[in-house]
Amino acid sequence: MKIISLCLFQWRGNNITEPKLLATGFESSTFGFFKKKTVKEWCEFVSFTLAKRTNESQRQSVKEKDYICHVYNRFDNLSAIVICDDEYPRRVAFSLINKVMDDFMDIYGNKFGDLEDYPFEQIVQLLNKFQDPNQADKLSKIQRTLDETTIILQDTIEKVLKRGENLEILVDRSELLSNQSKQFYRVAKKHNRCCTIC
Amino acid sequence: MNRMYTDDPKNRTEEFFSIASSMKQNYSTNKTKNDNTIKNSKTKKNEFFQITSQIGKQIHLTCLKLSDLSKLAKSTSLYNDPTHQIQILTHEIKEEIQTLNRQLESVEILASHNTGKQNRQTTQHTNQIVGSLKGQLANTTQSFQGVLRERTENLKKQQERRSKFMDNSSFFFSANNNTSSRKISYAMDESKTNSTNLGFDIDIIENTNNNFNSQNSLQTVSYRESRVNVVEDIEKTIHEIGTIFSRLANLIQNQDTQIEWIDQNVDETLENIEQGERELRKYSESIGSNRWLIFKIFAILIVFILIFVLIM
Repeated sequence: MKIISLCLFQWRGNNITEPKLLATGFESSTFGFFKKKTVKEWCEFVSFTLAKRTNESQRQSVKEKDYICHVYNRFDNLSAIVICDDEYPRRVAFSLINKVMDDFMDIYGNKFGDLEDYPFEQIVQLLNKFQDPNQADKLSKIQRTLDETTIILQDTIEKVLKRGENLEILVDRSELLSNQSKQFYRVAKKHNRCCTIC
Repeated sequence: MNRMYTDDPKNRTEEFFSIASSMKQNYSTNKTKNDNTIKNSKTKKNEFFQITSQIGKQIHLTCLKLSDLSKLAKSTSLYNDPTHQIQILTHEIKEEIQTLNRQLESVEILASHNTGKQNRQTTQHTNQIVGSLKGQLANTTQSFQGVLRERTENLKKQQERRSKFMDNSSFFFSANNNTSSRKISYAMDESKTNSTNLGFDIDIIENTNNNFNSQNSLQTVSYRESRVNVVEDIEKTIHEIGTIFSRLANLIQNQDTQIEWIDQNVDETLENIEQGERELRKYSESIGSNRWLIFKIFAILIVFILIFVLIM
């Protein structure tokens, strides 16, 4: 499962009639050399149309050929679109959208709407980071760690049960030993008392 | 007079001529008949014709609204759906048709009252008027049904187109809409048998419209729901891990007593073996120190045997 592109738009503003592209990131290594440019243009076009057609504070997921496009228009004029294949979990895509928008606002929060150009290199890093949804998304990471922990715990319980069995065997054997040693002592004592002559 | 209500209402010259001629007739018949009866019948006739003319006008207005509605229903864009306007219009048209029904019924009753005092031609005339009004109302209701049918088909097509783009979260929607559109068609079949009475509920159409509007909000809900579900799962796993830990602690505590037993047993064994060893040593010492005695005892025995043999 992978992400093809991640685009950030400003879909509403002072003198903005249609969404303005702020930053994009592409992962086009799976496409052939000659297809890369068309894929990029297609992604931008689809993202633009979706950003235009989505209402405020609305999340949408649209299926287009083999890919699914997730879009979220936020109330503070930002809109992010993620295009990924259909195996990529929806929740992780939307968490990526949230993270991108938060990072962007961290850098440009005060000056948003004033500047012309917003260079935002982290978008590519985020895109690469989220290629593996289990690693990047905190919720799924937590869940995976917890699952591993349960497996380890189950292993531990099995080992403890085996230990219990061994301990029982040890108890029996040590009882036997102690009885035998008692008999040995008794016999030795008896020898001493009565067999003094022979 | 019947033709007036289907033609363009601005052109009312023929109506004027007919009214003028009818008034002339009334004036001419006034001289031959009694004044009271004439006045009664005239007022009743005027009332009747006033009511019928009102009904005719309203039917025409309803027809105009219906044409607006059909234009709106034919619009098939996926995003800009004028559902609100369509709902308002259908509601208005439905109410108007119902009032027109009621008015027509009252007019019929009035006409049946009047037949006792009128001659044959006027009764025929009034019956014809009432019949034609009924026919016009039936035509409007039929076209209304047709428009509603078109609207449901459009909704179905939109839903199909939407389902091509969207997730399977809208899967149960299509099932829901199928049942509601079936309800509409069933109700319309019912109303076909009764041309002057509408029996179906437009609330069904409103329900389908509401379903389409809430599809977008369902997606945001399902995103939040998925997050909530994941967090709930994590909570469950943590709880399970807690129970596993407590079971582990129980097992280990039980094994603790067993270990104490083992310890005790091994200590006893050690003691016993040490004591046994001591006894054995004593025994061996005693045996070792006893040898001289054994020699002495054997020597005495041998002496006795020698004596025994010497005597024998």
